[in-house]
Amino acid sequence: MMLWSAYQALFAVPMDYQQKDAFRILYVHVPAASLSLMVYSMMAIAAGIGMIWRMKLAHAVAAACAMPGAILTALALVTGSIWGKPMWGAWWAWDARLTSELILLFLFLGYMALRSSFDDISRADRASAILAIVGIINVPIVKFSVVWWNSLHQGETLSVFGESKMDPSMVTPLLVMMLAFLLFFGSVLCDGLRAEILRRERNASWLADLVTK
Amino acid sequence: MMESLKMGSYGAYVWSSFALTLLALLIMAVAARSASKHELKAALRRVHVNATNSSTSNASDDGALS
Repeated sequence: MMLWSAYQALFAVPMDYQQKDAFRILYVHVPAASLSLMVYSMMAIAAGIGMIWRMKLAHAVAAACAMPGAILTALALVTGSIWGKPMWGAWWAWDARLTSELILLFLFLGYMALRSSFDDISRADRASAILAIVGIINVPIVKFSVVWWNSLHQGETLSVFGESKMDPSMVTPLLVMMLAFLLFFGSVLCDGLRAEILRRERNASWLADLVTK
Repeated sequence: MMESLKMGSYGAYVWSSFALTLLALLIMAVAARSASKHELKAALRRVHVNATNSSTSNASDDGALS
């Protein structure tokens, strides 16, 4: 799916009449940016579930989300910056969307740094969960920053309920790429979650039984 | 062919974005997979060490009895 949509984005999709060929960057920028928001929301919800119902697995899910979330956010910022140079004439602008996305990256990094600063896993879970839950306020700010403020960043092109502003020949590869990113993240999350569970349960007898089988 | 690769004057921006994306996805996948493998190996090692320790202590106990 990813290869098909990358081929479509690079060679098959017609050039945009305003952005010319630079709009092809959006086929990797938009999936990375939208998934970064989704991953943070998932991390905060999992952390909240872990805090309220004291589920260790929920904390493990939240911890496993952090690294891929940080990489996706950094990727969204870097590809956005590369797109911004030919379109805006600048690599970076202190625009609401860009700044709030940068804060999202700091939240992911802060979450990971906070977790690693504790030796006790349950204390690390609680402290990092509070940060994740507080930080979720940034998610709607990133999402609606282009609506709430005068932004250099372009407005929403894709809409879940309304009509998309893109031509169907352009939007289909983008949606397929977004789905491919989502599935890829799912696979990375499974690996990360397995590592996190093994790390947490290293002294559990069930793990020893499972490993010796 | 070269024209389609150059994409006007935007080729460097487009290709570098796709290359960075590929790199980021590879880093994500490799980091998660290697962390998982590392923890599994560590678990196996712990089980092996525990089994060795318990067999050694059993042997020394037997020696003390005889």
